[in-house]
Amino acid sequence: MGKELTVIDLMPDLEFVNQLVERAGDSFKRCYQCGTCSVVCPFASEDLQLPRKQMLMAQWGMKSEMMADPILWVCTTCGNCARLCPREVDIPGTITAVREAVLVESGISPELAKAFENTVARGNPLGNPARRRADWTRQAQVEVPVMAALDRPIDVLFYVECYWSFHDRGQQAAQAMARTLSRLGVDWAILGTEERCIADSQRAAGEAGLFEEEAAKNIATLGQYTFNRLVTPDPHAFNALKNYYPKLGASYPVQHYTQFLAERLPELRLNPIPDRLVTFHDPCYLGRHNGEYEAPRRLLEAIPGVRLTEMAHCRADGFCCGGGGGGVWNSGFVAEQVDERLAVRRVREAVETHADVLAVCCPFEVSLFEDAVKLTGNEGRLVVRDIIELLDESLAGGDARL
Amino acid sequence: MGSKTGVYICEGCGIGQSLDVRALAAAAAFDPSAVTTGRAFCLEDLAAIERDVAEHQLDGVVIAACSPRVNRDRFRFEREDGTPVHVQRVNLREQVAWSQPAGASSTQQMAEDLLKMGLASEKAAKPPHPFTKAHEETVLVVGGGPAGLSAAVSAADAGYAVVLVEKEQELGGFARFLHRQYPTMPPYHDLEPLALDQWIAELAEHPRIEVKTQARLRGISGQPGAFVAEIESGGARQEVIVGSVVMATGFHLAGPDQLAAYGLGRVADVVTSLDFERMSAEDRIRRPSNQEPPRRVAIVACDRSADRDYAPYAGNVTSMVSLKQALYVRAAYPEAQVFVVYEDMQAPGHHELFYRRLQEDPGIFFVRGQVESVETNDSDTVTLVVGGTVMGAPMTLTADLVVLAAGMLPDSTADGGEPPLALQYLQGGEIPTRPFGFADSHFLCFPYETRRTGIYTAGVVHRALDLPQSRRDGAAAAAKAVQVVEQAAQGAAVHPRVGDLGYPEFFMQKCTACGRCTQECPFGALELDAAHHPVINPNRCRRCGICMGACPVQIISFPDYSVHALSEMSKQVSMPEDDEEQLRILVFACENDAYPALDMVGFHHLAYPATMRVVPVRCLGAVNSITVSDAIANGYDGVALLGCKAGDDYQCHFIQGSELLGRRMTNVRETLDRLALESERVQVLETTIADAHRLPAVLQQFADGIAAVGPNPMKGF
Repeated sequence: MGKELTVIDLMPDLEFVNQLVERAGDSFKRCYQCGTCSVVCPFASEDLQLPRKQMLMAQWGMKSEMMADPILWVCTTCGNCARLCPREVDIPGTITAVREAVLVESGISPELAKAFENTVARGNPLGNPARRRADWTRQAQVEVPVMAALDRPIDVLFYVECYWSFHDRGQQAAQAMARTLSRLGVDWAILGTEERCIADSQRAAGEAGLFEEEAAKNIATLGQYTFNRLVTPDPHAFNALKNYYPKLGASYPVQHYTQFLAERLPELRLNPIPDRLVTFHDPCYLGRHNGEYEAPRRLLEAIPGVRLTEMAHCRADGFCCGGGGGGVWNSGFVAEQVDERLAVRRVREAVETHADVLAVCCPFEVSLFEDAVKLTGNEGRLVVRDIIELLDESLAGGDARL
Repeated sequence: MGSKTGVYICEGCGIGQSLDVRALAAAAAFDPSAVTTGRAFCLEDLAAIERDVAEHQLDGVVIAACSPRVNRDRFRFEREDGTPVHVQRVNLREQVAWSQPAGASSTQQMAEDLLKMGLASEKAAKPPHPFTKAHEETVLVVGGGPAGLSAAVSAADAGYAVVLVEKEQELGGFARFLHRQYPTMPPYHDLEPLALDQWIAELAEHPRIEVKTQARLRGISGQPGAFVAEIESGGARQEVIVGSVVMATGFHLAGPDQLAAYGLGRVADVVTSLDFERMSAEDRIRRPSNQEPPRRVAIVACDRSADRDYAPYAGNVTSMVSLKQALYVRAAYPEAQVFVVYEDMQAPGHHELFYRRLQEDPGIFFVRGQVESVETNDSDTVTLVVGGTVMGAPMTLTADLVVLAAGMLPDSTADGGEPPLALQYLQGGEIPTRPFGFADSHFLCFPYETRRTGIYTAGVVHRALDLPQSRRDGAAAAAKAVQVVEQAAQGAAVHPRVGDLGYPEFFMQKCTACGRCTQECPFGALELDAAHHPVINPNRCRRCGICMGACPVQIISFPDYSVHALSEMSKQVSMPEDDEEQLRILVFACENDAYPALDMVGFHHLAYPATMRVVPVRCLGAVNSITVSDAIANGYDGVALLGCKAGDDYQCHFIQGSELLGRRMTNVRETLDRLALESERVQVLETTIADAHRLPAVLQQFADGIAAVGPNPMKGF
C-alpha cells in the first residue's frame, strides 16, 4: 500500500455524517487522532491506519472515499481499539454503521454477498439445506430432543447455531455437547430444523436489515416455546441475544455454553486425560464484547491432566482469529488487502507457548485455526480443540464410547 | 569576628559517637574557657547560648553541630542592645559524623580541620552595615492589560501606593480586542464574556492607584526602594520615585513576517486571530475580499514545526483560541462550516471538556495536519493544501475565510524602538531576556524575577499565558514587588539570600578601573563613576559574590565574606607531609545546590572521600582565580569546584556564576600547565540538589584522579 498521490478534497457530506450518528451515535466525532487504536489493531501498519483513518473519514463525512475503501471491509470488529480509546469512541459500532450506510451502493465481495444470500435463502451462511440442520444429532450417541416434538416447557433451549450444525468439526463439538448435557441430566432440547442463523456477524458486516429480518423470524419461532434459558456455543449469537434482541423487544436469559457448564462444574465427573499443555484463545465476542474471561478457563483448569498456559495476547488484550465482523466469509478478499491472516499470527503465538492444544470456544475458530496450523507447518505440533471436546474426553474417561 | 567568641560543640545525632569531642576542642587551640562541650547543643539549649551571649558579651558564636542549613532561623542571637551576634556554623553532623567512618583518625582530623576553618571564618567576619536609605514603597506597574491591572489592584489591596503607566489611551491592553474568552469554569461548555470593565472599575475605585494613560517610560534608574522613573505623559515629563516595578508590557501577535507561508498579507481572505476577534466583537464576520458572510471558514492553529521556530510555546494558547473562534463562526452563521487545522491540539486540564464539546458540534471539523500552501483559487475562495494527515495523500480544503491563530511574541525588548522600561543601567536599557524574548530569569527557582532586582514580570512578557493565567501572574508579581520594597527598607537582600544585610565593599585605593565587576554582575548592580570606579546600588545586589570572584586585584569583599576569609579558611587545614597516601583536596561547594546535595550524602549515610575539605561558597562565581591558585600554592593536591550547571539551560541561581567560574578556571588550568603542574588538579564538577546518590562516586572519581596524578610538588614550599 504505497501513498497515493491523488488529492482529496475536503467537502463533508453532512447527510452521511447524520446517517452514521443515527446508527452508531456521535462518539466518532470525538476521535482526536491519537492513533492508540492503530497501535492495537491487528491489521494496522504504517501504511494501513486502520481504524483511525476510518474514524476520520466518518467525521469528515467522506462517503465516496469510504465507498471506495476496501479496508473498510477488513475490520473484524474485534474491539481491542475501542477498549483502549481515550475518547471512548464506539469504533466497531461506527465501522458497522459505515458498512450499513455504503453497503448497497458500494457493493461487497462476492464471497461475502454469497454468505448473506445463503442466510436469507437457507437460514445459514454456509449454504447448506435447512432441512439438514439437525443431521449432526444422528452421530451424537445420545438422544437429542427437539422442541417441536417435545411439546412441553423445558429448562434449556440449546441454540446450536450454523457452524456446529453444519461444519464437520462443529458437528463433532455439537455431539460432544449433546453427550455432556445428557450426562448432566439437563432437561434440554434444540429447535432442530426450525432453527435459523442469529446473523450477528452479518449485522457487524453491515447487513443490519438482514439481521433484523432474521431476528423477527427467530423471535417468532422462540415465541412458540417455553424454556428457562437459551444456551449457545456461538459468542456472536450470544452477543446478539444478550445485547440486540432486547432492543427488538425480545429478552431471554442467555448463556454461552462455557458459562452454563462452569456453573455446573461440581456435577461434572471429570476423569484424567493424558497430560497436555493447553493454551486458550479468548473469543472477541465472549471476552472483550461481553466481559467473560473466566468461565472457559475454569472449565479447562478443572480437567485433570490439563495445564493451562497463556499466550502473549490474552483476556482483554486477546488477539482476533480473523473470523468476526464477517471476516470468516470474506477471507479471500481480506487476504488481498493484508499481509497475513490473523489466524496464522494467532497460531504462531500459540506455538510460542509450546502448548500441545489450542483450546477454543467459538465455532468459527476451529476451522480457521486448523487451516492456519497447516499453513504454518505446525501439524503434529499443535492441535485445535473446542473446550467441549476436551470436556467430553475427560467425562468419558475409560468409557469414551459411553 | 570580634574579640569574644563562644564555641559550642554538639555531641548529639551521632557526633559524640563518631568523634572524640574533648580532643577536638583541645586540638582546636583556642581559649579553652570559651568552649562548652559534653552536651548536645540542640534547640533546647538555645537559652544556654543566649545566657552566655548576655553574660560574656559575646560578639560571635561558633556552633559545631549540624549543617548550617538546619534550623538556620533558630540559631540567631542578639546582644541586649539589639546588635546581632555573628553565627558561624561548622558542619560536623552531615559532613563528618554521618558520612565518615566513626572513630577513624581521618574522621577526627577532618572534624578538627573543619572546626579550625569555622573559627578562621568567624575571626575574619565583620558586622554588616545595612544600607537603609531606600524606603520608597510605591509600586510602578508598566502596562494596563489583564496582568498589569491585576498586579496594580493586588499591590494596592496589600496597602501599597501604585502608579500604573499605560501607553494607550485606554486600559485593557490586548483584552480590549477580545470578543469572548473560552470557558474558565465548569462545565467548560460556553464562551464567557470578558470581565475587563470590572477589572478597570476595581482600579478606578482604588484610592491608592494613580493611572497614567498615553504615558511612556523614558527612564528608570536607581534601585529597589529608590527607583527614579521618568514618565512622559501628555508631552510633559515627570520624575516619580518608586520602590519596585512590575513589567506587564504584554505582547503582539506574529504577523506577515512569521506567517507569510499562510498567505497573510498576500491572500485577501486570510486574517489573523486578532482581526477575527475584532470582526466578531463588531458582529461583522465578513470576507475581506467582498464583504460577504463566509460559509466555510478554516481556522489554522499555526503550530507547524516551522512555527515552533519563532514561538514553540504558543500552542497552549493558540489551540484554545482556535477552538474559541470556531464557536464565533457557528454562533454568527449556524449553517457555516468550520475547519480547524492543527498539528497538536493542546487543551490543558478541563479545557478538554470544551474541546470535546466542539468536536461534537456538527458544523466543526478537525483536520490534523500541516498547511502546505494557501492560495486564492479560480472561484475566488481560498484553497489550503493540507499534508501529513492520516489520509496519506495531500488534502485540499477550500474556505472563503482563513483565520490564523498567530503566536504571541512578548513585548519585552526595544524591537527597533525604545526599550519598554528605558533602564538607565550601565549594562544597558533592556531587561535581559531568555530565549524567545521572555523577560524571565529562572522559571523554576525564581518565577517572576527578572535579572534586574526589584523589577518583576507578569503576563505574556513573562511567559505564554492566557487571560486567567495572566491575571494570576499579575497578582503573584505584585507580591514579589511588595516583598522587595519591604526588604529594601531594611537594606536586606531578596531571594535567594533573603535577609542578608551585608553588601560588597570596595577597597578603592587599589582599584585599577578595569570595570570587570560591573560587567560580570548578573544583576547590573554596579555603575561606574566619573573615574571609572565601580559604584554599588546595594539594593540591586543579590549578594552572590560574583564581583568578588571577578576582581583581578581582590579589592571586593563582604563584611562577613571575602577572598581573605576563604584563603584563611583553606590555610587551616592540616597538610600531611611526607605521606603520599594522605592527599588533601579542597572542595568549594556552591551553597545553593552542591552543599545541600553533600548534606544529603550525609542524610543517606553515604560516604565521600576523607581527603576532602569542603568550603561553602555563595556561588561558584564568587570563587576568585587567586583563591584557587593559592590553594595549589599552599599544597592542596587538588581543588574541586562543585556547583550548578552552566550554559543556556543554566541551573545557576545567579544566572552566570557557573559560566564565569568555568572561564576563570580555564585560565587557572593554563597557568598550572605553564608551571608544569598538572591542570587536572583543578576541576569544575556540575551537580544538582537531587544528585546525592551520584555524588559520592563523582567525588571519589575526582579523588582517584588526583591520586593518580600524585602529590602536589608545591607541598611544603
